[in-house]
Amino acid sequence: MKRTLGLLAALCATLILGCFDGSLTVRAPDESTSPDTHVDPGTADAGADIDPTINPDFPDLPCEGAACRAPEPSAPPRFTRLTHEQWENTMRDLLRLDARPNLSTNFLPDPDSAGSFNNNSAALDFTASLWDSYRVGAETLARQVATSPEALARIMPADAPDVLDARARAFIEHVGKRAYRRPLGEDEIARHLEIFAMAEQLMGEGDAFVQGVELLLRVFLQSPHFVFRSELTHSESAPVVALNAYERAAKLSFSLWSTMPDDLLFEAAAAGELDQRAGLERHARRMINDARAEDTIVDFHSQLLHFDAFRELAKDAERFPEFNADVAQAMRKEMELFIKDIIFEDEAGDLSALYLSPHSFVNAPLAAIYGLPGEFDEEFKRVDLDPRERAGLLTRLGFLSTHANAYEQSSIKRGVFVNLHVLCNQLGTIPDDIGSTEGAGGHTNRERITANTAGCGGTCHNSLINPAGFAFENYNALGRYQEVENGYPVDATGIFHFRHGTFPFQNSIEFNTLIAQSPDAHDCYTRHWFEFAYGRSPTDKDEPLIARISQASEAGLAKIRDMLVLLVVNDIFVTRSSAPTEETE
Amino acid sequence: MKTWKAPMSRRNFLRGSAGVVMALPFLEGLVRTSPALANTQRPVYFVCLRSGNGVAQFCDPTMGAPVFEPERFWPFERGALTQEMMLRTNAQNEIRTTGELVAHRDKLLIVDGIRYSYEGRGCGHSGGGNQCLTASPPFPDDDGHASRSRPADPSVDWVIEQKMKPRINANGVNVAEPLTMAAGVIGGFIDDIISYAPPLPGQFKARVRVSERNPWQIYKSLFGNPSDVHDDLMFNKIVKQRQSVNDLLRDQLGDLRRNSGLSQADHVRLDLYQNSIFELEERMLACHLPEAEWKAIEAAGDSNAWQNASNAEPILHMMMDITALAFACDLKRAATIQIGSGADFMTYNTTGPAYQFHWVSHRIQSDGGDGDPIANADHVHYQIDRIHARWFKYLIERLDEYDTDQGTLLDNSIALWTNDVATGRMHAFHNLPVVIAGSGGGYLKQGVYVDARATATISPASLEFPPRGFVANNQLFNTILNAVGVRNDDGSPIDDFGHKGSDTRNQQPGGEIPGMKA
Repeated sequence: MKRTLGLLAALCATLILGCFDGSLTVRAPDESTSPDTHVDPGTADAGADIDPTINPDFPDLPCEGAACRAPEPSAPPRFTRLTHEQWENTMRDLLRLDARPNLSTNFLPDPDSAGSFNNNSAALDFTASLWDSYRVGAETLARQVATSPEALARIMPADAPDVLDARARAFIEHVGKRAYRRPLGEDEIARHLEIFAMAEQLMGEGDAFVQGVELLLRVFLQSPHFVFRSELTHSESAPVVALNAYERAAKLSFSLWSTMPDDLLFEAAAAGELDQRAGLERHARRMINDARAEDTIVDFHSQLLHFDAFRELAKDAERFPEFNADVAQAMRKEMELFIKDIIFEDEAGDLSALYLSPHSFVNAPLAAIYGLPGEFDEEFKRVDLDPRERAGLLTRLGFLSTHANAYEQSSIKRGVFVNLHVLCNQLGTIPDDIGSTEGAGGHTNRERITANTAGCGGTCHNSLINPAGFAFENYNALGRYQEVENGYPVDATGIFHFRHGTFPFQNSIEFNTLIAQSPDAHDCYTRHWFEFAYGRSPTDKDEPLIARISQASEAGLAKIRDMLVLLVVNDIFVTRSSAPTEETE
Repeated sequence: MKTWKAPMSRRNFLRGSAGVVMALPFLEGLVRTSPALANTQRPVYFVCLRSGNGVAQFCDPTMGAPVFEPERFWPFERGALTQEMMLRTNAQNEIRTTGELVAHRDKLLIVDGIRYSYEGRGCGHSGGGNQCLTASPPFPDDDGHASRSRPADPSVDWVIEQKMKPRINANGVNVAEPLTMAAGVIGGFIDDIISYAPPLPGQFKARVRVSERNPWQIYKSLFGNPSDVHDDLMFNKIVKQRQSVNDLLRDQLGDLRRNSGLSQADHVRLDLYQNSIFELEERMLACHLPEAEWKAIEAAGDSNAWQNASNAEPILHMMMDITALAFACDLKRAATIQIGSGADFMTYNTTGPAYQFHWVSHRIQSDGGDGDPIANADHVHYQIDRIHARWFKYLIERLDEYDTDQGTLLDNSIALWTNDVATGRMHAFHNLPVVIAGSGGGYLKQGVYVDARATATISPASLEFPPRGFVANNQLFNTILNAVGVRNDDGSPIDDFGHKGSDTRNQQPGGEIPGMKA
């Protein structure tokens, strides 16, 4: 069914060439913040004359829908506060700590109220309490690093002179560049030197350099240049501007790593590598193959799949005596191992594999629930599950048990999830005054749900939620496979209305196959990644890019890792519209 | 550079035999009036305690309920709240939930007959929470997550703080923010649902205000760390260090503002950052709880005890202590305290059976609509309501402990105990529980239980959509806002708080609820 992946490299190159056409290939800005870097205004309409029958990024693919249009740069917020995840990672990397400082557990939590992910710039507000937490964190870490010769040595530039003032300047230039994610201007350096000089008077007795460094670190770690991710490049005359190299480096690193740029990215920015498509792609691929990308990918899926639910997952002790909190955490770990394996190790490595692969990773308690023969212990090991019973992510214990009640499977939770998060279907609103199913007739869960939702009409349960949920009737509240429920045979058959057609299925295996083959699922997954990588909801201007990548994924031409590369190596990632900021929600 | 003033002494806050006696700073606070205010009335404070999951009150099949459940919440009779009536019991020898507040009956105003004007558009809790203090319709997020809906307009606590305690920064932006807190288990499918700031420019949905949950963090951000005050020399040194750092940060903010092409929303983001520095620098370091109390709060914060649901009650008490002190020192005019998550998932200590409250409120073992029944669930719900009533009683008592030159702090406050839904089982949006303590400086009636429907204008929308005839909750807030002193720009009383859009169920201006007024 899939085309060979041998074409992939060439096709990716085609996509990138398509992105960086003509003068939109941005020039290396100088090492200042380059406030007026801009591109030829004509390139804003670069896609206006494309052949409407060809996907411009994948010439071998027929052009469909939005993919036939050219993406247009947007004007997202100029300032986005770091999420707590990003703050932790950035502190670790800036100060070259062995681990994240883990101070944000006491922060005012990031809001969970816009879009699907917690990094949506529209929701990341500031309060006095949060700033106070930043201050406490900054003062704590500044003291720790400045007063520890070993810790200080880690962040000092290698060739720092010994003379106090020159040494201070070297520290400001080197650490300041990493903290603000761009080189400091002369005025800024002078202002920081003033603070350094005040330390002797403000901090009391002690080593002048150490005291100055402590005060400077307090500034760096509380600065708006540190706590905000900024895109300051702007033009009053050109409709589209190219982000400068340092803004690109920061955008790449926060999108793919949820942290600041590493030394190689800083060097690439300084050398102008990120102004060329090949350099940008080279670094994107390097980053995606780094362990930090694994953390990002796990974070993305843990938010998408609501892994928070594992924390308070509860099952009825009488019905499921084998369940406890450790099992819940094992289920979560299985999900993480499976996702990472598909994306980083699996030969196919694409979305279809994520939804269809029968292999997984289990320890003894999970092996027992899966009914696997053989010996297992607490260590997780790779297994092949029965392909007649299990196909991909949605048949893993973690998904099935978190989308269930304490006693039995929840067809509605599963059906709603598949519709909202796997297929990105819009569901109608549910009634305000929901009733109870108490007294509803039926031998099986499916019969009861059918009876209770019979009055709901064709727009919600009967056409979308119920069939998607009933496909998983073979899995009980723990995710264990069942063919009989309460003495009655399980019915997991159904008919589902995808946007591209209506298809019958006999069970979850067939349903997952339909999902993996459906444009809806590829579009939806790409859309989620866009939202996560860009920190905002997509707008109509972004639809062409999403369509092109999702069509490549559907055609088997893009692994998940390739999808991430395609998301960041393109015009709209490295440019912005000069129009007023567009606020998306 | 700002001039540092020596902190005032804590002797201003002496605990006497009758409670905490407020001395000079508070009296100054009461008579001091912000030049930004159009009126010169004494400060009136507003605090809302939000319980979740509705209350155990009368419902029957004619109201859409599956089965009959008896009245257990409201007092037996409207009219004067007498001791006899509030302590009257049913056949099972049980008082009504509101009877828990009998000791403060002379300072209570209980109001029934109120509803939300808009449907939930998805999740009942989120839709109810959206409207609870905003009188504004919920809108699901773009991905269709009904449980992440947001209203279109800011909540009443935000409006009060902005209007009555404005904080104008150097750029002319009012950056005042109310105190927003939550205690107990937070997590599940919905978190913070009570307090909302207006939409950012270019957006149409209000911004949910994330609750502060660590009481020590709240305490420090309001009053500073009292440990710092012990050594004046050290304290002043720390302050000067921070001011030097902050001066540079302010310079950097100025540089950022000078970038061309920034939108209004971008400026708001920078304003929020700048305000955060400003607020911490300006906090009144003279205000502190007695040492034993702030040390207990410090311990709760440092040990992460606030993250443990079993500590919900002491943490709530701490938040109420902090709220009362913040009002007494006139640092804040408005506060909200949310109990548990958007839908309260805590398991309470009742006679059982022990299930998490959200399930209890549904009367089944499920967060949804299908699940095995929970025996005796309505009675468990009633017991939880009484626990919440006792928590509200604690808040009343803390506010009543502070004396002023004209009554107690409670007399100059409006403490509202309410819920985002009326009943848990149906997620009903009508006959919302509304229990008020304090007269708002004499504006509200005291010692009575009134029916809002008896005196208020019923909007045509409320007559059109079932259940008909209830009073829109914007009229409750019209009344409260006028009591607190908020006025329209032309000085006229507030008569149309909440949403003013073109929704088919749009509420009418409606005016106040006359039966609530003294």
